[in-house]
Amino acid sequence: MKCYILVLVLGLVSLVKGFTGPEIIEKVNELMNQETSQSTMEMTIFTSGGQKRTFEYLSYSANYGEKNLIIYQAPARVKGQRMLMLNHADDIWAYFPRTRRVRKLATHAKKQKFEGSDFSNQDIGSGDSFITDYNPTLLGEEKKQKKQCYKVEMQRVESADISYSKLIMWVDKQSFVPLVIDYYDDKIEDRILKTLILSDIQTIDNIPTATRMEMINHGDNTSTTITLTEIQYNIALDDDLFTERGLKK
Amino acid sequence: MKRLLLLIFLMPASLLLSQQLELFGYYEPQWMGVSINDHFYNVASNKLRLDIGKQFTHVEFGANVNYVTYHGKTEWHLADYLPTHISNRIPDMLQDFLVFHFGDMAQWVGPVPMPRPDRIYLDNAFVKIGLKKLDITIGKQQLGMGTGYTWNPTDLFNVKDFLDPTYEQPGHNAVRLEMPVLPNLSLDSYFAPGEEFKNSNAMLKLKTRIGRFDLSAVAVRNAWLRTEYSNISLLTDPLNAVNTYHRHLVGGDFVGELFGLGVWGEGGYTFVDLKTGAGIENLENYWQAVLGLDYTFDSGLYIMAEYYHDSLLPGKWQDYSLNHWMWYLTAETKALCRDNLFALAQYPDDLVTPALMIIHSISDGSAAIVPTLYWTPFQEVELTAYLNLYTGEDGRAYAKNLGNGGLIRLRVYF
Repeated sequence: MKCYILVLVLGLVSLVKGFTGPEIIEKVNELMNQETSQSTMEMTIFTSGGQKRTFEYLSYSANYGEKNLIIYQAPARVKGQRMLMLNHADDIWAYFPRTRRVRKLATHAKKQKFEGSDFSNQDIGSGDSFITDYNPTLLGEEKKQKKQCYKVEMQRVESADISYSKLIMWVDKQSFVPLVIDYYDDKIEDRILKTLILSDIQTIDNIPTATRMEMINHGDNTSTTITLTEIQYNIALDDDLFTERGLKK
Repeated sequence: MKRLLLLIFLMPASLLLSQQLELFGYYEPQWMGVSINDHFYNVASNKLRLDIGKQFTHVEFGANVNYVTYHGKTEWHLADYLPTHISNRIPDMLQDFLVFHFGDMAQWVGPVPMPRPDRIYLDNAFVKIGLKKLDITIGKQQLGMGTGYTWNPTDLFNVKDFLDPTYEQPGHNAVRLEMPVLPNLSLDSYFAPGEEFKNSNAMLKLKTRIGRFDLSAVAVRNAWLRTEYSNISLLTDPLNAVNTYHRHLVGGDFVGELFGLGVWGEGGYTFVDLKTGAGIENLENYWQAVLGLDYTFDSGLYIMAEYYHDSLLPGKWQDYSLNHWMWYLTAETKALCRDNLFALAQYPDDLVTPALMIIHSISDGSAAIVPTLYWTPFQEVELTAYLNLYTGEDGRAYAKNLGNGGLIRLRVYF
């Protein structure tokens, strides 16, 4: 009920008041980082050689996206591997079931590919990265996926250790779900490295949710799709889940 | 033992299904080639690992059975790897002592009259009980310790192969307790009983987090098996060649981040109770340390370097004795020389990860270069291939006579 009221109020407010870039990104961040969530996802990688790889994993998130845990379910090659990300993925631990070892990874591991996909670890678990790592500016409005969107440019904060120089994000004016995000190269100005397309938006637990995310890698000519097969928001999650002890369970 | 394993293999599928046991594992054929003394030898193996697991609310059971067959050259004479000036001095009567067989006797050190090239063993078999503030793991389990990638000074059970440092380590029979004490402080401990109580192993570790760092302090008591290869009178009675020393390690480890680089370290000081053994030469208290750092570039290129120091080991190649060589070749020590450097660069792509590893002895200037390739040609299939190219002169830690060669390993998961 609260969420209905929130969406209604947001809609009414947006009609009478123009949002600034930071306000839009703040709302995107609030929407994408609910207090807790538990989801099952399927990730499909389409390689440059035309091969298809599918991964299934469980994802848990708590404290408004500050804590994330990913547990691989399939394929057998990675089954049981876990990745714990705390402090918006500034602290990362990986657990490998065959060696039963936990290894802490430094922040730069965020730049590594997520299981060889076109998503990097920072694309997956960086929680409030949109707020902390970028300075947003509203460029105007454009239509994407037949929806009126805010077009926001997000320049990287100088101190942020992020692989992208800037993002351009198109945010649905109605729901504040980002529909398209262009990720720009750090080295070559105005070169788009990757494009994320969010679609199949459904209202789940009163929260507009993109259930399909496709990351297109323009440089490698590959793409990765993540499909949410199940998601629950704002449920009770044991704090122990997001500890090194929980990682080994 | 084998009957028990057979029973597990033959357990009806319906029973497994009715119990909802998880059944998984891998099949791993492997080929290794090595050039020694103008001969090129082949050794191949086939490993089947079958994991069984079951998770209840507070209890987890896990086990794996491994069946390995060895083919090709399964009998190796370790004298072939020794520097000429040392191997020339080994009397004929001691040559058999240096023969090593793959198979059931693979972990044995000393004279083995019967090579048995196949091996079947139950590796991990444990139950883990999770209470609110305590996890208890009982049985044969992995006891890998420390933050080091190639060397782990605080891990007194395992020695990693620098050509393959992430390969699974064997299980050890122990009881392990892990408990959170405070929100950022936890206690980890194990007890691994020996044949005699006094030869048991125990570890106590306190772990905490400060800022971006995970830190731990550790104390370990260990019964340390050392073989005396230098004393001929001991070799006439092989049982007397293996000595058990008691040692106590006090140390710790850390892992965190400095100036954007991943940094880690691990080390400790070891007190050796010389009264417990038979007086092996050059044995004394010693300290070991590992320091490492890594970084990932925006392109995805990952680089890493790790330094290892062991004050017990010789700092000059002229001081490497038969004992030092044999301890190294039979994994009684983690390295041959005092100061070592390991470096790794890899560029992960979606299916293929080329990598280059270099291990360098700072003590004697020798090095091994290991170009490596990881490839996942299919969803459940992983291929690892590497060449090991030793560059050092005879007598050095990474000398050419250790045998240049390569390995191809396929792993099919199910």
